[in-house]
Amino acid sequence: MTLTLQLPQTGIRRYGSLLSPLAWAALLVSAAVVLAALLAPALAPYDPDYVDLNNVLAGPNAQHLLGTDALGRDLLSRIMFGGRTALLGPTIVVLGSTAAGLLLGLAAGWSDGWTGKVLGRVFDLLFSFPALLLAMLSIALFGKGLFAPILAMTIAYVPYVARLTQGLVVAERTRPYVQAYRVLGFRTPWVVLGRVMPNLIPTVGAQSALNFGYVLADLAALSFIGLGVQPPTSDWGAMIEESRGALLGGYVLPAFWPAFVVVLVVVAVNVIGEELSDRIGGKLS
Amino acid sequence: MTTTHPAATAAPDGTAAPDAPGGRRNRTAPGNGTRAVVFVLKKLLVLAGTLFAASLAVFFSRFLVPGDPARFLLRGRSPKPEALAEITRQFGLDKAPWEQYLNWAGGVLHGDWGRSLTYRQDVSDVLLGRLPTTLQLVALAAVFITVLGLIAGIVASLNKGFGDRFILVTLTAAGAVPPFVAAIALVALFSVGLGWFPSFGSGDGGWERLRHLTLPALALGITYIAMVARVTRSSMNEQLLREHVEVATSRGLTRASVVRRHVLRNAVGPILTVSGVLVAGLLVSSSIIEQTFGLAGIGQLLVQSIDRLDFAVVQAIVMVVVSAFVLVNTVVDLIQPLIDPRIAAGTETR
Repeated sequence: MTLTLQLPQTGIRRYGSLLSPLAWAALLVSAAVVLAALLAPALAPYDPDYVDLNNVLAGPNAQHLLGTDALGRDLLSRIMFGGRTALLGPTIVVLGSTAAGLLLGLAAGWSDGWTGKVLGRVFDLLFSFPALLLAMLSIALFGKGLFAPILAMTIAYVPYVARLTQGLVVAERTRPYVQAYRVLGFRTPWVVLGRVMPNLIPTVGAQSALNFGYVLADLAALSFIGLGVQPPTSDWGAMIEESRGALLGGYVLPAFWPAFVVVLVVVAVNVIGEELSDRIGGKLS
Repeated sequence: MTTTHPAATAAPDGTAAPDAPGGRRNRTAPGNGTRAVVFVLKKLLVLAGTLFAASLAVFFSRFLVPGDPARFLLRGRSPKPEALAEITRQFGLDKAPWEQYLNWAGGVLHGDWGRSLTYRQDVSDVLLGRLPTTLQLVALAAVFITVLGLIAGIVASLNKGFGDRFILVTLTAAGAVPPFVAAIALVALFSVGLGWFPSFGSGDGGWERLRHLTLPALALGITYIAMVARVTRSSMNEQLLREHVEVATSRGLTRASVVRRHVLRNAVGPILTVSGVLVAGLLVSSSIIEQTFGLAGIGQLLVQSIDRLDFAVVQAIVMVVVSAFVLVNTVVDLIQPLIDPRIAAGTETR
């Protein structure tokens, strides 16, 4: 008779069993898009700004796999290069707001006194400014481009991360391991940052993945209405705006491809984020 | 805050006062009226505080820009000395910052929002002229969201298996489509392709206006149609498993009546909760949609004013949208106890 032991899987295999096939597909799509954007200078078949007026609004063919836009620029190359600006913004916003939100949320959740109360009020105030609105105010102050909206959105997304962290910390504080560290006399910062924070990262990460999608869509929208990335820099939102004339003339593809990529990436990060939070929720309960 | 569960105040042996049997006794208890008043007052106080803090943030944001404030307000123009003097006088730039704030806030409360540089008109007049279009757009979007969102959610909840899966996947996809992408897709399909709806302009009154606002309202609402549908679905699924629904079904009530009176009514709470977020989202996204469809509303005015460096207008619109958002959230908080008496006023332990 054999004795079977249920050992927890470790490392990458644990995550392999953690994700559904759909989430794996979403992860692959995201990785492919990120790689295509990063390696655009090496992989893109054309200069994204190369105008070829003899070859405007061409459909997909052997020379131009996705076709060309109204100025004869290669759509595939523009999408690859456009990904660099379209993905850079959300990356900065998510990294910045996650870091700041984690720290502020830890501080707010750990303190019983006025620090927690004041921080809670600050989060409430920030919640009353929708991210896109704050971004527009920031553009009105600091001018068009990527800097102003990135700055504003980083601030606007801090309360989402912080409020979540705060709730998690309050729950975590009462757990035996935290009590044990306290009784054993470990210093508070070490317990909070070294022992409590790592336990929160998966849940907060799931929220941040969802935030990435929202920020990507909002920044693309700003570029679309001409307040974000300025031409001739290629950006997915700006590409859709540039293609509106062609669209009204019946040429759908120049607007379709960038729109398709935007939706694809947003769906992919949403799937990853929701999958993560589902699994974590399931694990905890 | 100490909370009292209705059952906790009942007599220990389970008997209630003879004139007010059962749990109803607690509702008419003398403490409850004052508690409701305190609850409302507290919410209103928080509302006032938030509005005050938001106005500080909006007003003093200008002070983050380094350099001469008069030149900032007149960016993109070549200001003559008279113009600089005029803007200094109008904004009171030579006064202390707190005095400037009091002037501005006092003006706002009296309906004086300053003057627009591009329109050479009072900001309040420019805003009022643009308001109807935005309100019509948001109202139509709200109708689409309520009708389509509720129907999709209810249908998904009542159909297990393939129907549910299909609607859920569609909703997830629709929820991920940003409004401006939805706008482009709708124009491609219904304006360019089928020619059913116009792709630009607001149209003149009545039926034409409705036709012009249909695509913008759909594009504006798509994210929230998906959101409301998902919330409705999960909220109803939760209710369908409850005992009171089972009892109602076993008593032989028809399915429609069970769903309407016992499931939907109890499922309204979470749907209402998201409506605060919804209004803010609609107002903010309307700037993108109005710009896309060339609708002369507040949102388009915001985009144009940013473009034309007309800061007084931007400041006013930001304040209006934030106020609307905070106000709606307060209203939602206040009517929540009316819909679900378990969240009795003053005993919120959610």
